[in-house]
Amino acid sequence: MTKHTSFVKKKKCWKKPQMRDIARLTWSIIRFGILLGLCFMIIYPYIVKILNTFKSYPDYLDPTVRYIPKYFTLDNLTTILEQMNYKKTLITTVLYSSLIALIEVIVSALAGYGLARIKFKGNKLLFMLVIFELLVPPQTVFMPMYIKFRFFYGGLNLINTYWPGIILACTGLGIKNGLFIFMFRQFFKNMPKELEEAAYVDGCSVFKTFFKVMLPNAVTLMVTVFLFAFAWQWTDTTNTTLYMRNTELMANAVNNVNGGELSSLVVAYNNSGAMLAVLPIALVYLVGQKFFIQSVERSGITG
Amino acid sequence: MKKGRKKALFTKRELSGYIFLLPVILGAIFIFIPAIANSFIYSFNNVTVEFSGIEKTFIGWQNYIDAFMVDTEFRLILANAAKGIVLDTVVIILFSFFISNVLNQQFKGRGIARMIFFMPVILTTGIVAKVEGANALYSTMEIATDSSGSAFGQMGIRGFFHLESMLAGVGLPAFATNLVMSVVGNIQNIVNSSGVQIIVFISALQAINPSVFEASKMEGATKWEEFWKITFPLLLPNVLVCVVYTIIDTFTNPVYGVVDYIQSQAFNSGKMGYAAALSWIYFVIVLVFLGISSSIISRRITYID
Repeated sequence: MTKHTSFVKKKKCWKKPQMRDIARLTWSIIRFGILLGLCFMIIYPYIVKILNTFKSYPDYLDPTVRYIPKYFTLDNLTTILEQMNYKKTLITTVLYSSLIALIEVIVSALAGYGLARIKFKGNKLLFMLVIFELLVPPQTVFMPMYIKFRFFYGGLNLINTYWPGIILACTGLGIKNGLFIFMFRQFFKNMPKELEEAAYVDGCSVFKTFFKVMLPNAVTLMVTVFLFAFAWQWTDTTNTTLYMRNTELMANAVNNVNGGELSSLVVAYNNSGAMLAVLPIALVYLVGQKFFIQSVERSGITG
Repeated sequence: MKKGRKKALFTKRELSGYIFLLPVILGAIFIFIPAIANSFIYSFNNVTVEFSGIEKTFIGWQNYIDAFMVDTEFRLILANAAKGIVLDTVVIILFSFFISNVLNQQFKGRGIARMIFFMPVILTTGIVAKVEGANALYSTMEIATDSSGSAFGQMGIRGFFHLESMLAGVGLPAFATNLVMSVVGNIQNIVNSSGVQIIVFISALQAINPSVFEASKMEGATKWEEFWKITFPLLLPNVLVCVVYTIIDTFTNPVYGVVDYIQSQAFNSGKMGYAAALSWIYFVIVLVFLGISSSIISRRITYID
C-alpha cells in the first residue's frame, strides 16, 4: 500500500521541477536585491566620503553635483594630509597599535589558559571578574580612571602621554580585552587533555607545557586576536581622546582637521580625514578578512 | 608521606595559576576595583578637581535625587535611550537572524556579502562612528548640506517613499506608524551593529547536523515546520548570546546620547559626582535589561546533547 502511494506521488511530481525552478529563480532574484541593497547601504557612506574628498570648492556649492565631482582636485587631500601630519601619525599609530595588540595577545593567552586549565582557588571568581570588566561601561569608570592617571602613584601626571593605553593593556583592561581572554579560554578548554597529560608525564613544567605544547596550537587564534586588538586600538576614540589627547594617534589627528569658514566644508573635511584615518585598517581587513570572520565562527562564542 | 607530596604538587600548580593570571589580578587590584569603588563613592559626593587632587564633600543621595527630580533633560534622554535599546535589540536580532539564514544558502558572491556585512564591526567603530555622530548633528541643524556623506538620513527614506503618509493612509494607528518610522529611520544603525550576530548565527546554522533535516524530510515535514521545530530551538542558545552581546554593544552607542550627556556633565559642567551618579543609574538599568531578557530566553532553551 505505502509503496504504491509513493510511486503514484513520484509520478505526479513529474511536472513539479518547473514550478520549483521558477520559485527558486524568483527567490534568488529577491535575495540578490535584498543583499545588494543592504550591502550598498553599508558601503554608501564610504563611497560618498571618498568622492567628496576630490570635490573642488565650487562643486560643494553646486546643487547639481551630487556624487561625481565636476572639477576634480587634489587640494583637499593635500591640505588634510598636512593638517593630520599624516606620515608621522601613520608611523606612530602603526607602532603603538602593534605594541598594544602584542601586549593584549600575551596577557589574554596567559589569562585564558590559566582560567581554562588550571584549578586554583578563585578561578571562577576571576573569570566572573573578567566578564564584569567587559560589562562595565567605560563612562562608569572613566572619571576615577582619569583622576588615577592624572595623579598616578607618586603624583605622576600620565594624562596626554602614551602610558595609559599601555598600562591598561598590560593589566588586561584594554579595549574589549575581556572578550579576547574569553576567546582564549574557550579555545584552550576545547583542546584535548591528553596533550597536556603526555607533556606532564614527560616531565614538563606547567609553563613549558604551555609554551611548547599548547601555544603552538593557538597560532591562528593569536593572529586573530592580534588583528582585532590592532584594529580596535586604531579606531578607538574613548581612551585615546580621554587620556591621551595630545598624542600623535589617528583618532586625535582627525580632530585637528578643519576646513576653513564654510561649515559644510568643515564637515566634508572631517569625513575625509576619518576616511584617511581608517584607510590602513580597511586594507588590513581586506587582506585578513578570513581571520576576522572565521575567528567569530571558531571562537566558541557560538557555544 | 605520599599524601604530603601530592599536596605540595597541587599548591605548585595552583601557584602557577596565579602567575598566569597575574596581569589580570594586578589590574583588578590596582586599577579596576579602585576605579569602580571610587566611581560609586563619587556618586554620593560633590566632587571638584583641584590642582593637588580631588575635593569631596558628602551629600548623600542628593545626586540621585537630582537626576530624577531636578534634571528634566536627563530623564528624557534616559527614557528615549531605554526605548531605543529595547526596540533596536529586538530588531537587530530579527534582522541578523533573517540575514544569516539568507547567507547560509549556496549562491555566488556569498563570501563578498559576508565580508561586507562584517565590515562595520572593524571599520564603523570609534573614529568613523564619531564622525557620523557629528554629521547627524549637522544635518539636524542645516538640512540642505549633503557634503557630509552621511548615510541615508531619516529624510532620505521618508522623503522617497512618503512612507509616513502612506502608513497613515492605510489606517495604521499612530503609535504603530511611529514604531515603523523609528525602525526605518534607524536602519543604518541596525545594519551596522549586526555584524557579529550574523556570523554567530551562520556558524550555529552550519553546526546543525544535516541528517536531522533529512530525517524530518523523510517524515514529511515542510520547510516551515523544519524551521520552527528544528532550526529555531537549536539556535535559541545563540539567540541568548546575541541578545547579551547586542545589549552590551548598543548601550554604549553614542546614538542614544546618554554617553555624551554624562561626559558633558563631567567635563564641561564640572559635576563629576553627578556624572558618576548618572552613569550608575544607566548601568543598573542596563543590568536589569540583561537580567530580564536572559531569564526570558533561557527559560525556553532546551539543550540537546
